[in-house]
Amino acid sequence: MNSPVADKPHLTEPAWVRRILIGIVLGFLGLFLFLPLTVVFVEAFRAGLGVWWAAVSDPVAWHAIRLSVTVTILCVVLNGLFGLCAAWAITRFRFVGKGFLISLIDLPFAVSPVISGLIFVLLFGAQGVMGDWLSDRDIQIIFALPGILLATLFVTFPFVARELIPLMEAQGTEEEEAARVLGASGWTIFRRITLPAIRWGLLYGCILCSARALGEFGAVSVVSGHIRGQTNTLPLHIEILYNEYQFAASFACASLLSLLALLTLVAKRFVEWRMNQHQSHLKTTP
Amino acid sequence: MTISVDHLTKRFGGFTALDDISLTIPDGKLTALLGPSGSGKTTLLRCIAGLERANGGTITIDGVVSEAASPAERGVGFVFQHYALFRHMTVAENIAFGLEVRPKESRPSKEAISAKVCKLLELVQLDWASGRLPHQLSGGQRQRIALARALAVEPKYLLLDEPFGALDAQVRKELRRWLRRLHDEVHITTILVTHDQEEALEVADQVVVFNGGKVEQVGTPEDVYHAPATPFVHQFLGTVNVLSREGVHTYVRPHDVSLSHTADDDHPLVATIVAINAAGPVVRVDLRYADTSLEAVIPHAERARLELVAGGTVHIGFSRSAKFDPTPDYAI
Repeated sequence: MNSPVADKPHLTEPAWVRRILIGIVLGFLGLFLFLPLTVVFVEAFRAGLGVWWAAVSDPVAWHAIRLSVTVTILCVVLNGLFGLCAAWAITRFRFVGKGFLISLIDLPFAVSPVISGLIFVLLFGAQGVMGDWLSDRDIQIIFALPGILLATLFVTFPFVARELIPLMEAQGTEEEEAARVLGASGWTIFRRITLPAIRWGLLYGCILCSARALGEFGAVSVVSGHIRGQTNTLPLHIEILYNEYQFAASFACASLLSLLALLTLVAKRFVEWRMNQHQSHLKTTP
Repeated sequence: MTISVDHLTKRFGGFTALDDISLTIPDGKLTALLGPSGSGKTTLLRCIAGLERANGGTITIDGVVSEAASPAERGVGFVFQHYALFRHMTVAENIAFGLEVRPKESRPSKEAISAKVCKLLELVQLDWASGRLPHQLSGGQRQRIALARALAVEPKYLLLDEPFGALDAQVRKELRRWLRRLHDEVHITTILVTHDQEEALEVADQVVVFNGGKVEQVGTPEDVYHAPATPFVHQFLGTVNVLSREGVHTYVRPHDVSLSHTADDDHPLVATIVAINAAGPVVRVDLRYADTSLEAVIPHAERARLELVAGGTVHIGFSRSAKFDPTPDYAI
């Protein structure tokens, strides 16, 4: 981000090297990021605003939007809590198997989302390990909201924890100890000392988590069953529309999803900026 | 109102930080726990504060065994080496914190709290800083705020963990004199952890010298400096010459080496002058006796009287020395 390198004059590479390198990066970004994004928006609005609005406000599309947003909100809340607990346990306690726990947190990044979805089908599906037990009690997980939520939770599980662990590690425990000696209870210490120090990091993790939750396709595709108006999230809905050659509607919904992604990008940038300000505080406070 | 430590032991994995320590902290005095890093002094302080739980032994505060007491119940104030100020709170909010988090029954009114904060800010001479954030202050100022914050809850004991360790030499000197004056005003029983012998000798009423998780010596600054009980204390507090003769180690401070032109009962040994360094308030004379290098410190007038020159010989004796059996494990 605001690295000191950016402010220094370049003395090492000649101008043409710099221009070529910058040109490659810009060309790459244009071809793989800017161009597709433009195509999405151009295609979405090609047939006019009326068609776009019809596609987005279609009851099935509207349901998909609501489902995606619901899953995302639940996911951010649950994984926010989980990430906080995990970061707390890892940075504040000494226990056996800590290294193993840290690598476990990274597991969802390493596993293909399709496999993550399949795990839940094998566990909770009709033919799965717990299938009979669940159907006896009339509990539906796969091809229903709980399954979609579980798959999304699994995939977005590392974001908050990964963001908080290094932050809390760097902050240390002295301020919390100081508060404890002054007589503060555990809850007061968390609310008044720990949380204010990590709030921007927590928010940053939540934004990354929500961006991924909103757009998650692979894992959700396996567990959702693609039931229109019931278990279709926005990305799944876009795929179905596209496969049915409803390009205008498909791109209209895609433009909506892209817009949400752009919004998270702006939010992310803002939080990064605030965190930098916060960090410079930390630097002057040894 | 005393703290007494009885057979306290603390281990971190395989490392023994405190090895069967017994100690009494005198009431109303400033006690320094002095020792090299890793000698256990900070661990003892954290055990007294309740931030660390010992593996064996007891700490008794005011006659109550404080095994299960929380840090706040022990009535201690703690000042950390790196200040540990709450970085997102103003100076005033930092100082008020300990009073604000009290349960409703015992919490002072808002007015009482802000009056108290003002009084403490005056005490540490930083009344202008009340609205500042910690990072806007210098290290020495931050440490004074940390002290004011610790004093706000009116602790019976004040525990300071290397409070000046992160500061420049000049600020350190000023602050420790200031701390001594503050202690003379408030008379709160204080324990100061430090690895700086000069600091301990200058501010403390009682010095406890630590080494390897054990107490080497307890005494007044004069005691531990002039009558060290062990070779370690001898070597840790200031410079010392070690002579090995007939299976006995003799420890002599440089200023206890006396020089003379003539051999007599007080100056039985003959040494060669290796070098003379007169740049300073006293003259340092490097000597060689048998196979041992010695250092003597004499006044400038004495050097002129004796007309010392490098390469010459001189008769030496020791006006004060201590003898110990050679125990190689005291090497530092």
